[in-house]
Amino acid sequence: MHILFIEDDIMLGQAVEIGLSQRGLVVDWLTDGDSGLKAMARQNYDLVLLDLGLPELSGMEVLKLARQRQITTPVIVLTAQDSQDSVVQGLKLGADDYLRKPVDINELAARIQAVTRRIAGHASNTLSDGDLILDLNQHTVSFCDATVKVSPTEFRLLEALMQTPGKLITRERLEQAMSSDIGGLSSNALEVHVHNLRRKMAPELIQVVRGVGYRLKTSGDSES
Amino acid sequence: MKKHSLKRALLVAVGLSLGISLLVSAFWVFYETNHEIEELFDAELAQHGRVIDAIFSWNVLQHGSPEPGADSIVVDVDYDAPTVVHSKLGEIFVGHHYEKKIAFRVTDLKGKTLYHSHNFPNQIAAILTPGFHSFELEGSSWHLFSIQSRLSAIRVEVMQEQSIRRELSTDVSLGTLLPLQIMLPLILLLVLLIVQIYFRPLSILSRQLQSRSVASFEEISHEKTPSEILPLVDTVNSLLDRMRQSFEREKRFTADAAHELRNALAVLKAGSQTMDGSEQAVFNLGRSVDRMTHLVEQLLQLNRVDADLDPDMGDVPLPALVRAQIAELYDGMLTRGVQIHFDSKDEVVLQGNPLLLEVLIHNLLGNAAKYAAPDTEISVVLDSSTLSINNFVEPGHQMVVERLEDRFYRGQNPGTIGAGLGLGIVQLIAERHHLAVSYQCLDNNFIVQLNW
Repeated sequence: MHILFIEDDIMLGQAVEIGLSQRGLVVDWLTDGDSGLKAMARQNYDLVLLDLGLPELSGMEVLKLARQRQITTPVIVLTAQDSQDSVVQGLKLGADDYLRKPVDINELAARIQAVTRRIAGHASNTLSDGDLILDLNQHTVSFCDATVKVSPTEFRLLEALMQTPGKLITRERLEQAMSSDIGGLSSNALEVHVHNLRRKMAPELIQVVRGVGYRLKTSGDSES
Repeated sequence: MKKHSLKRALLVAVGLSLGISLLVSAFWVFYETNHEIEELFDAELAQHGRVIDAIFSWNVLQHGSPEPGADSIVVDVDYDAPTVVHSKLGEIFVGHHYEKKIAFRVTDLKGKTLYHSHNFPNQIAAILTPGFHSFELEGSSWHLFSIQSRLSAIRVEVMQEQSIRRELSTDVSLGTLLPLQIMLPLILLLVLLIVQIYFRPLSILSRQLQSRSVASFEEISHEKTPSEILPLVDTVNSLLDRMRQSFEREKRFTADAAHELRNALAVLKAGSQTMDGSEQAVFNLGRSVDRMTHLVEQLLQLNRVDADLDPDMGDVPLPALVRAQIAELYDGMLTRGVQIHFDSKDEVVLQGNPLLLEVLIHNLLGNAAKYAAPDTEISVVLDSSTLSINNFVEPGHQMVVERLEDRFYRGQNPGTIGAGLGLGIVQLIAERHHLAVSYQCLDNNFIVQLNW
């Protein structure tokens, strides 16, 4: 995978470049926004890792200009700023993900993988984890190579859980994801739909954290 | 930019109002005087006419009218007689400066002049209707009063020059206004003096503020402060107080942070110098960095909470907030084999700042997640007035519950990377929201309660 890394801090730049190279990524490292922008336009990178606090042309401006020039390369933003505002603004301007400094190289590599996979997934428009595959265009679900019939609400629920497999998702977020339905949800609607999905696939597929929400058991979970 | 001066504005306003009222009253006085003098003189002119009529009617009745065809008789009035006569007694005034020059004419009913004073202009037409007339003659204005006698067959005309009246009315008007004109600068001077005196507290206040050093947060004294600027002084004082508090916080923060950061850096430096490439050394270095990272995060958070004295308040649904924070911390709990459950009996909505309350709940839950013994369960219970978080700690875990909120206190827990700031931050946010936090530890069971 070929990555463009724009970071003005020499020590951090070197460390990240070495770290990512060790993990099998090809890294082009530039130290200013202007040449970064030119490189983005010249070459077709798989992903751009962009520091927001660049001198002169700031990371935010690089992102804005790149998107204005129809450069659609996925971008992960790195920020040392404290406030949530810069992150929100970065995402609004078309960043695909963000990481706050100090960054953990392993996490960074994982995020890079996740973003590129997601972009690729969006191209084919499927979400998959282990044996579970969601086709977002066809609205079909397959589990262990067999098609599973699900209702539209169940599909939306599954989609919300599949966005971040393994992460605990709160009741509120799941209900919000489901409630594009006509009419409101009854108080135990979430439980009913989760129960149905478990029954149609596997009981242990969706795990409950009592009073909080649900998570999708992932292929990476240790058996316990 | 030119500064707006209250004093100057006040002086200009008072001066202008006085000037304008003086001008208006001058015109008024002049008009009124003129009018009264006109009336007075007209009445006098009429009286003169009637006296002359009486005298000449008596003469005509006694001696008959002059022969027809005879010349008119000139009656000489000696207006040039000296007004001052020198005698043994000194100067005697026998006339007056304002003595009015009167000209008159007596005609028969056909208009033939019988008598006239020598100064009566003969250009004037013989017959005039009875009453008052005004006209121009050889460049000057005249007033004339004409009557037809009821005593004999004569007509009397008396006239008087306008300039006499004008002179008198001007003199009277000016006489009235002159004292006012002289008083105007005096009044302005007085106003200036009064303004200076009553603006003194303001001048003193501004001098006091100007002469302050940057680091002086002493209150401005209320002594001799007029009630109008008391609110201003109070506001400045409260501002100064807040500045002092924040200044002290900054100082304390810098001192605390310096101490903690140096310690963490010392560990890092020692770690890097003893690097032998072994897995343990790399692991230790990694932990030092984690500790440092955590410390910096907490310090920044503390400073932010400390600094934000007036956060935006709103309705915050607590169950959703607790769930969101549990979800955020869940991965970390899972890796340590810690389970959690949340019982929310009531739909509690707190008044507060969403971000600060998020930090508060995050820190409390984070603490529970960090210190919970492996393979135990954290219990979180929310009812209408309390949020309680209950977790089991390792049997060897030592802490002084009373010191938990002290900054940089972290108990004796070699295994964790706390900075000892989390609960201090909790305390700070709780105070801002009038929430009570209590901690207790019974038989390795650590309970945090948040009450409202």
